Amino acid sequence: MDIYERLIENPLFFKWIYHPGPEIDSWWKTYLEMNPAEADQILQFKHRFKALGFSVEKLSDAEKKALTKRIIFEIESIERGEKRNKFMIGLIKYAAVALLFFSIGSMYIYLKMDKRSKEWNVTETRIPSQLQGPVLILPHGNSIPLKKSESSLDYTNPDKVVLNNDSVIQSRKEVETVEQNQLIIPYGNRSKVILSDNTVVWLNAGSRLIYPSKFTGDRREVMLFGEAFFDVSKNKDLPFVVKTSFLEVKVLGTEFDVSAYPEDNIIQTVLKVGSVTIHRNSAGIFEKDLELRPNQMASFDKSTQNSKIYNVNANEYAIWTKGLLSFDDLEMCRVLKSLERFYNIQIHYTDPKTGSLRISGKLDLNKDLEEVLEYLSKVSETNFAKIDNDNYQIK
Amino acid sequence: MTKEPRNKDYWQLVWFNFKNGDRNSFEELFNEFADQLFAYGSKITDDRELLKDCIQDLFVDIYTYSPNLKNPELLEYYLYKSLKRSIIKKLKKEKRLESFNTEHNSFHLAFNLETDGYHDDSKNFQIEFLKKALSTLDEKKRELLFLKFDSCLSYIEIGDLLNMKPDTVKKQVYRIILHLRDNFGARLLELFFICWK
Repeated sequence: MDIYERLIENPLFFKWIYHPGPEIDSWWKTYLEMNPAEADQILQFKHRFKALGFSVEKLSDAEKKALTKRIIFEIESIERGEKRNKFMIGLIKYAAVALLFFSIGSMYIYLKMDKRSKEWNVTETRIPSQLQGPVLILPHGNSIPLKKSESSLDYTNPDKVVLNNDSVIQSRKEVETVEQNQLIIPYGNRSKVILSDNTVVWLNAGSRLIYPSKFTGDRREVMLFGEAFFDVSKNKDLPFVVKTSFLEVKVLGTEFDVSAYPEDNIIQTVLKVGSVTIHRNSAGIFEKDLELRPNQMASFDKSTQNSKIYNVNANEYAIWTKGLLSFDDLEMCRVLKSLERFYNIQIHYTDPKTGSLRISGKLDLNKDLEEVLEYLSKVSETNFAKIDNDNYQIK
Repeated sequence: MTKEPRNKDYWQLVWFNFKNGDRNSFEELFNEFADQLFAYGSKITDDRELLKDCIQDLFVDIYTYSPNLKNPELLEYYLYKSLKRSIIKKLKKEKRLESFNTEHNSFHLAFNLETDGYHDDSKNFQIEFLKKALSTLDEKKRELLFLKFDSCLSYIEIGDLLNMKPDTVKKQVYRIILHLRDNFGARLLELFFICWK
């Protein structure tokens, strides 16, 4: 085969001429650089084909988008239809017309929602280390220190918000606003919030939760940075949605744990009871949401944007709410990270092997730090040395 | 390292992922082939809406019945063949195609060289030869060239779409391309200049 024949038999050659794009252009650029002897002939041959040329009709972006929507619509009505009997299939035509009107309506709602969701674009930030204790930031910007390291907030009473089971921090008038509250729990603290719909949220150390005093609209939405365990009150008409920087976890009524610390590369969702669906924020329109069954964990890798599902014992991922830490064949570095967050300390080690040690066991974090570290050093066969109040070293 | 452009192997991988339930792969297939198929279809009919309907049916069918597609390496061929069949079927239904037969070939491909907009005052021999060659092309041969230039289909696949032998397809392609090879045209040109001086 001479060079012309090779070019003619290579579909990438014609693609380069008639449908150029960055990918194909750079491929040929590299090819020409690597085969400089052929470059002249190739470029000349290309030039002549370009002169021969022909024009083609193109779909406009708007047409292509509309076409995509039509296809998704049809596919989804087929998927729904499979579950029904054949009698229904005849009705689909009429349903489609009805749905068309419905979708015009929902498009309107969707556009409105879109506007509202802009309020959620809070930049992902780490927990301010200068905070001495947990803080509640009210919609109008006032911040209220929650005093205890194990605080609780209760929004179920429509007339007032109860802090730590006794003091009242907001009168009814202020609760009426639907703007967002922000609860910040620094390292060394934890908190429990009962939201206005009776959903209970346990916030772990080093986390932020953004939520309204009262839920409005067609979904119950909260935003989480860090880790929280949710016991969502059942309401099948109002899905409960936990937003994180990369994923959205949607439920109707269930118990589950979400761990989405900004500094961790992995976002974990563990389901204890019920069912949840997980939606990737940057998902393409054809992408299906992930569904979890009880005792499954979805582990989302931020760098690869991939999720994996594991079978786990969900109780072990929830017992931190009771001040316990359980780990089964877990890497030492993750256990240490939890301890650092819980006690607000720094643990240093120089040997990288220490971090990748796999250990199993339970720690009672209600005990004091010295006792916990002593136990951990037995399990992992390492020695902890105290440098000062906030710093420890593994030898 | 530059990324390998998308070729048949690549689409086989995408197809494999799609069969295993990856809807992203379906989106990728759609984004890649919708434009290509639209370009092809619009040479057969100038009814954009009809063409869009055909493309919609095609992708819905793929989504619904795709797991039965036996030879994913023929995916592109399958797309072109189904689209063509579907367009002709719809045209026939609308009675726009009165004397319909299976050999139907109406393919409106005009090369830039042939259109009025192209003026060449240099009296280039090569161009003249090529123009002459193009003027002899019937619609079937134009469709053949279009498929060669605008898809990754093999001679066998193009032949199958057009009811032609693969060898005939290949010969036709080379007949046109011969006019574009520099050692043929340029030498003639050189000779011409030498004599003229």
